[in-house]
Amino acid sequence: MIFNSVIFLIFLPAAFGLYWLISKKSLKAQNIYLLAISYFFYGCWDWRFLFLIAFSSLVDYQIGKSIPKAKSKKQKKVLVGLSLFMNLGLLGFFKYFNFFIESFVDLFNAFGLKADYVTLHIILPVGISFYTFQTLSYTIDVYREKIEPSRSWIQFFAYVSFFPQLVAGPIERATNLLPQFQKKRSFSYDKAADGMRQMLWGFFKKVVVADNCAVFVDAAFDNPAASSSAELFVGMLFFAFQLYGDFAGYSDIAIGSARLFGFDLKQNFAYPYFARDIAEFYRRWHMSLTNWFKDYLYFPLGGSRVGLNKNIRNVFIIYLVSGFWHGANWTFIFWGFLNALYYVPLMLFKRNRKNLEIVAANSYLPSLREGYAILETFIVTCFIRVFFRANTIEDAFLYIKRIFMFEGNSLNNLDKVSIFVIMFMLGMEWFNRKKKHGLSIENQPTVFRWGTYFLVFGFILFFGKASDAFIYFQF
Amino acid sequence: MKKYLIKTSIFLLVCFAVVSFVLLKYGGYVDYFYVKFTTPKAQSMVIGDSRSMQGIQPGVMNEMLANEDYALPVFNYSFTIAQASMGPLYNKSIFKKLDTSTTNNGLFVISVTPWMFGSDKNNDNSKGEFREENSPPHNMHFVDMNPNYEYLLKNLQYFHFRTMFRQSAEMHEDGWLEEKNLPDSEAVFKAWKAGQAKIFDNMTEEYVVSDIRLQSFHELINKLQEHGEVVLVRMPIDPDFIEKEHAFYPDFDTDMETAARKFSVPYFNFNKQPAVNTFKTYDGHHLDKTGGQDFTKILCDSIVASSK
Repeated sequence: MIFNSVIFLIFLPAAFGLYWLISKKSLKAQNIYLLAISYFFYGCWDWRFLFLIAFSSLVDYQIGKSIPKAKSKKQKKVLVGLSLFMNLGLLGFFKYFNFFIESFVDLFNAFGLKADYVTLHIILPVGISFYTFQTLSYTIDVYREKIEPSRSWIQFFAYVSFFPQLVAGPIERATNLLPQFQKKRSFSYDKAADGMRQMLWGFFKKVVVADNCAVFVDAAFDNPAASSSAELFVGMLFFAFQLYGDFAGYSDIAIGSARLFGFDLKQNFAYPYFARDIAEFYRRWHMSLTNWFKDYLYFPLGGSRVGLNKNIRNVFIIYLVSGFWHGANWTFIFWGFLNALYYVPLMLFKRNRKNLEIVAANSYLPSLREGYAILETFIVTCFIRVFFRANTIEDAFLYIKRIFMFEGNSLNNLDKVSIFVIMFMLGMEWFNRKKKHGLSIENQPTVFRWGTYFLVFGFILFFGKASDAFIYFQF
Repeated sequence: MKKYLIKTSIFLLVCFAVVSFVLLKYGGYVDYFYVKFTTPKAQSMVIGDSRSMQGIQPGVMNEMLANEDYALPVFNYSFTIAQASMGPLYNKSIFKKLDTSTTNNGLFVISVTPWMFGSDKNNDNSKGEFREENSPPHNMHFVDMNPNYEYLLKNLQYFHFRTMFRQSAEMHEDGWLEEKNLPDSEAVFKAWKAGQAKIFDNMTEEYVVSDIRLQSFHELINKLQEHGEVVLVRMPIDPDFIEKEHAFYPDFDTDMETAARKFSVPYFNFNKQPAVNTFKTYDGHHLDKTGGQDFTKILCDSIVASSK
C-alpha cells in the first residue's frame, strides 16, 4: 500500500476513525490497534516480511531488556554487539549480499583468477534500511542509558512498525517516538488540522512536482546520447526537484498522517534548496538520517574533536557510508565520495557551521551574496546527484560530458507545467521557510487558507500523475 | 473532534463536487474509457480493439442503418489491445454491457485483428491467466452508472484530468474515440508509424496465438447470435503492417473464414491481397476522423448488402 493510492485514501480515514473510537478505552488498546494496522499496512506489500520485522523487534526488545540487567560493562557491550550483528546482518544479507559477491568476483577476475557468480534471487524487503536503523538506535540508546528499556512489547513493536514512517522514514529515534507510545494520546484539533495540511502539501510535492519532473528526467537519463546538452542540463535540475518532491513529499505525508493519530515525528526536510553551503544542505536534507549518522557514527569516531586528518577521515567515512546506505551500487558510493570532497574545504576553512539559521531569517529576500551561495550550492549538488541517478559511474560521466559539449539547445518534450509547479512549490516554501512545512498557513485569513487548500487540490487533480512508488522505497 | 470532522467534511465534499462536475461535463476528455461505463446498456455494439474504437463511428452507422431492422443506436464497446483481447473476460464484459433482456435484433460488428488472439508467452490461458484481467472493463462491476465512481476508484491511473484543457482526444457518448491530436507533417506521421511498427514487433516477440482466445471468439459469435446479427470485419491498415500481422498469425484469415462459415456470418476483409489502404490513418493503423467516416459508410453498405 503506497500513500499515493486509492487504497491508502480509504485505509487512512477508516484507520483514523476507528482509532479515536477505541482511544476512549485505554493506552493498551490504542497501541494494539496501531500495531495491528501497521502490520496490515506492511503486509499489503508482502506479508512474508512481517516475520522479519517481528523477529527484528523481538530480538531488540529482549536485548533492550537485558542490557540494564547485565552484570558488567563487557556483558552490555556483548549484548549491544549482538543487536548490531543481527540488524546489520539482516540488512547486509538482504541488501548487499549480491553486491559483495559480484564485486569480489570482479576483483578476482581483474587479477586473472577465475571465479563465478553465486548470486541469489534476494528480494529487498521494503523499508528494511529504515526500520533497521530505528531499532538499532533503541538498543544503542539503552546501552548509553539515554532511554529506559521498554517494558511493554506491544509498545515496542508498535514503535518499530508505526505505519506512517515504516517504509521510508523519517528514521525516528526511540528517545523521541517510544515515549509517545507510553502515553495515552488524546485528540488535538490543531495537531490533526496541521497534519492534514502537511499531508496535502506532501501529496502536491509527490504527484504534481516529482511525478511531472520524472517524465523529463527519465527521458534524459535513459538515453543521454540522444538528448541535447540543454535537455541533459534541465533533466539534471529536474531530477533535483523530482527527488525532493518524492522524498520530502513522502515525509510530509508520513508526518501529517502521524499527527492525525496524535504523534509528532521529527522534521525530515527543512528547505534544503535554500541552503547556502553543502554543510547546511545536509543539515536540512533527510535530517533523520544525517542526525543518525552524526550520533551513532561520526561522534563515536571522534567527530570534529580530533586532529585534522582524522576529522577529514571521519567526514569521508560518513559520506561513503551514507552513499552505501542508499544502495548496493558503486554510483552511490561515488556520490558519497563527491559530497565529502565538496564538504572538506568548508571544514578546512572552518565555515561548515557558518549557516545555522535559515536564510534571510529577518528579511523577505536573500541578499545577492546569499542568492549566489544558494544557487551555487544547488547547482553543484545537482551535478553530484547525476551519480546518484545514473545506472553506472560511466553513464554519469557521459551524462556530464555531454552537458559540456554544448550540442543543441532544443528542449523537446519540456512540459511548462513542471516549471510552473516547481516555482509554486519554491514560492510557498520560501514563504513558510521558518515553519515546519510549506503549507503552514494556519495564521492566515480564512479565505486565503481555504483558497490555497483548493488551489493545491486543483493542482493535484489536474496536474497530478499516477506513479507506482516512491524513489526511496528502493533504499 | 466535531470541529475537525465538520471542516474536513466540507473540504472533502467540495473536492468531491469538483470531481463529479468534471466527470459529468468532461468525462470524455479526461479518460479514454470512462464514458463507456457511464452510458446505458446497449442493444447493438461494435466490439474490438483500438482500431475499431477509433475507426468505426456509431453516429455514421445509426444514420446509414436507420431504415434497416436493427435495434439502434449502436454503441462502440471497443477498447485497446491491452484490455480487449478476445477471451472469456471480454466476453463476460460484453454481456454485462449488452441489454440481454430486450435485445433480439441487435447488430454486432466484431472487428478482428491477429493481435486480439495473442496471449503473453508467460500466461497460461488454460489456468485462467490473462494479461488483461486487472484492467478495465474486466475489473468493472457497474458498466452503466453516471458518474461512475467505481471506475474512478479502480482505474485512477488512467485519468489525465489536465487533458480537459487541451481536449486532444474525445471519447464520445456512443463509445467512439476521436483523436484530435493528428500528425502535422509527413515526418511526424512516419515517426508515429515507426512507433506503431515497434509495438507490433514487440507483440510478435512476446505473444503467441491462443487457442483459448479463438475458442472464446467462437463462443462470443454463438451467444451474440441469440441477440441479433453478427458481422466480422478486418479493418484496413497499411500493407507493411499486414505483413507483420501475417508473420505473427499466418492462418488468421483462414481461421476467420472458418468461423464465418461455421456460424454463417459475413466476414468483411478489407486487407485482402494485394491490399492498398485507401483510408486515411494517422499512424498506418488507426483511422482518423475522415478515414473512419469513409470506412464506416462502406462497412454499412457491406452490411446492408450482405443481409439482403
